Amino acid sequence: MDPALVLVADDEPFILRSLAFVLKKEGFRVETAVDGVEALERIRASRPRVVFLDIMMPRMNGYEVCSQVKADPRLRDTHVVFLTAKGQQIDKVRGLIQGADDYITKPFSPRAILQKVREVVSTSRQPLRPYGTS
Amino acid sequence: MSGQALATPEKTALLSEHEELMTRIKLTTTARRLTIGIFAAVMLGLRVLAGVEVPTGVFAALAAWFGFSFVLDYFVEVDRRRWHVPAIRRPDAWTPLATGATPDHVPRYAGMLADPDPIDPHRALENRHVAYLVLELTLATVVVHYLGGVGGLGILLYLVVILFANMFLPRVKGMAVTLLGSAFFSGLAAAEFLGVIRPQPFFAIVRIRDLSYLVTMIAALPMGLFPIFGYSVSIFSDALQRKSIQLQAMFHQLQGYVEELARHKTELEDTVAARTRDLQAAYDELKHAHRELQALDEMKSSFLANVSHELRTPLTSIRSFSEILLTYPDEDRGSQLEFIQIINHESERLTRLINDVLDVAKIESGRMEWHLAEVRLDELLHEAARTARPLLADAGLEFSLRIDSGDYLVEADRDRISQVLGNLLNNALKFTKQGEVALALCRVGNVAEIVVRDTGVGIPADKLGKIFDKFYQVSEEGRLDGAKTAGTGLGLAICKEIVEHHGGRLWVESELGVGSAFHFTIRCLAPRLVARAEAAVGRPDAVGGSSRKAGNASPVVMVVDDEPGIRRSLRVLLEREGYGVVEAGSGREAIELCKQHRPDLITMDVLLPDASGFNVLEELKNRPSTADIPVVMVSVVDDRERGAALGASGYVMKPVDLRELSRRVRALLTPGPHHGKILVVDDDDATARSIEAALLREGYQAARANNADEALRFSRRERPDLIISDLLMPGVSGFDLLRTLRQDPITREIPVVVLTGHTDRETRVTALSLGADRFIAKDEGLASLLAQIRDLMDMDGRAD
Repeated sequence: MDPALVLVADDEPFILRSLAFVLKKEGFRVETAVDGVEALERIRASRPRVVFLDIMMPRMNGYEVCSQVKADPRLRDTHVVFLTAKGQQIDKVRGLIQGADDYITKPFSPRAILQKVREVVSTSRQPLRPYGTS
Repeated sequence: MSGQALATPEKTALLSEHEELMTRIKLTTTARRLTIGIFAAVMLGLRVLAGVEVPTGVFAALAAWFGFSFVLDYFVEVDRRRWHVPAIRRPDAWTPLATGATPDHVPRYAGMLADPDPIDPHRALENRHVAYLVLELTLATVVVHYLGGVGGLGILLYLVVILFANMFLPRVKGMAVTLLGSAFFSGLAAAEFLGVIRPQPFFAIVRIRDLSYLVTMIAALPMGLFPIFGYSVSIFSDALQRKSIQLQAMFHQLQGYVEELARHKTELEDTVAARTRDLQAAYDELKHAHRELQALDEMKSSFLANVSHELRTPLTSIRSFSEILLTYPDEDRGSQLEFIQIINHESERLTRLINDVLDVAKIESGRMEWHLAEVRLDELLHEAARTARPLLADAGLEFSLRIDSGDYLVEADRDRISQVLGNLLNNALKFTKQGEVALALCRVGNVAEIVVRDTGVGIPADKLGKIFDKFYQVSEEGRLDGAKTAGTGLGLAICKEIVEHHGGRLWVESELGVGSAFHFTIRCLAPRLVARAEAAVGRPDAVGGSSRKAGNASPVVMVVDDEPGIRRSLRVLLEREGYGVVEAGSGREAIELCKQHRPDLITMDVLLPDASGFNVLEELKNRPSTADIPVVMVSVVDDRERGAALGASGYVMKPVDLRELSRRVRALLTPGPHHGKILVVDDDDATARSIEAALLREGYQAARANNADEALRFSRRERPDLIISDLLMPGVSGFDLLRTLRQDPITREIPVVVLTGHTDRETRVTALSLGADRFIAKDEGLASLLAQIRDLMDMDGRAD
């Protein structure tokens, strides 16, 4: 079985660089996007298992990307995690309402990201198998 | 109008007519009695001497007639009194004051009273006079009937006298028929009696005297009845007139009341409307203030959120990469170096951000320290160019610097202006892929204008207004390498604040895809500025807001402070207030300058390089020539007591509340006896005396009242500028005094300070709700009282 694909979308190149490094290091496949539009294109094209979305991105913000992902039935197994810098209650609520599965507050530790990815991959192994193997 | 109700000629005419009537009446009476006497004498002579048989009845009739004449006299007199004849002499006095009409309303109907038509006592008397005459003639005719020719002779004689006596009386013509009838038949009877004609020459059946009787009776009846009827009617109508006038008086009085009520009502309505308007205005003001606060609060929240976001981003990178370095120690050296570089870069970014945030906070709270000095802008530009040139060259961009010839001496904070230049150049570098960045300086009037122009991506028109907002960053597309150039979003906001603090303006012109040009201006100093202090005193073309009226030298304030920035801000403030300003940077300089230009007031810093401000203060106070210059201490050191002990007139803490300082200065410099009249109301002699003395010392005019009544009288008469009142006083209390003062429009606006020993909450609330402006406990001391007074008087002054 191929390692799970993770997409990280953030307009901060250093954040992309660190997450990509850690995830690759831990054996995941990683794709990156520097804005919302690119993120959506890559999600549709590569169907990543987990998506990390920054909220304030150029061209299309994270909320919008998330709702488009959740509106697409082909992408219903995509696990969306917001990377939010605000940490404000209102943002959390809004993120969840629009169908995000989780959120992580900046400044986060790469370990937290890894843990989140592992959680998702392990809990979804059974339902994923038919697609992954067939 | 009331006194002259009757025009003088009319009055005179009426009076003379009345006199005439009275004369006629008297004459008639006299003639009547004379006739009776003569006739009686003749009859008696005829009877005694000539032996003519005169009937005794003649004498009885004459006696009765004589008696009747007295009765008539009596009636005339009664009538005369009854009709209040003296009133005719003074018609204006004949007003129904007895009705209770207030004098206010008399003029309204006095004119009507003066109209002679409704009631004319004179005409009434005349009517009655004529009526009496007719009655008399009629009775006389009856007598003739019984006495025959002798009577006729008597009547004839009497008629002549009557006619003569009443000749010109207008109403006599009313008796004409009676008179003529009486005369004709009396004449016939007399002729018959005297034997001139034979008896019964015309009618065989009726004797002449009978005919005379009949005709006279018939003629006399209406002629007599009409005046008598008129007499009754006039009595009746007169009573009616009196009533009517009384009613009219009452009516007018009532009308007056009604009008007054209506006026009160209107006034009340106006007051209510005014109050409502005031309330509405106050409410709107509150609402506005509330909205502003809300907006401010939102701004603060969004600022916090933005700061938090901006801080977390570099922190995330630092945290991540440091953790990576720790977690994967075996990474190759190249990667490790890269990660450390990133950490370093992001730390720098974080530092920059924190500095910017702190700058913004400092500028916004007014706590930014500005190191103002004379700066040559052209030098600053050269410096900035030296720094920018290699960076721009690295990025493959052209760079040009153009400085128009001219004098670019400005007063500015060198580092801050450099910061603005650096920031603008850095922005140009960030957003320009190719082409040129140009820096230019030119002079427009007395303003220097700096332009940073680039051939970069430009700014969309709809974003032009936002780029100076805090944390606003133009779409990232224009950015080159994000990591390398990431900004804080605060740079332009800070630049704008800095430029505006220098009295300049920062703006941008831009075209998408063509480039942007950032402009900012700074006011230049006048060339060849001599020693500032001397220039300030005699400078005819003083810069800034010191437009002084010629000939009327405005007070000069000396600002003593070693910090040029503070000197400058105080100068700006004081010049705006219209004062001349002299600056001194040290204690020595201050004392030297005082000798040359005696300032009207000094603001004194305490921590001076060469001496303590207190020592300078002491020295100034010890010199007779400078002892009376008021000195306001301005210091970070809170040592008011020492200042006061050395003779300082005020003490202002740094950071300086400019409004407070300007109030202090104004209070001290307002030409005296500036403070105005103050009334002290207290029954306690010692207290009142000490307050009075303190007020006089402060330059106020003071007056005293021992009780509330005195105070009220004084306040209404003199309108003091302020009243200090005790609450508990013999007789009328201070509360009642307050209430009365606030009700009277004359005293309503006078500020009242309640000074009392009773400081419980209830007393305080009552006093303040009754309209006291301040409530001070006696044990708070004089200083507190004086401060409150200064405050109140000052507010008054401002209101002017």
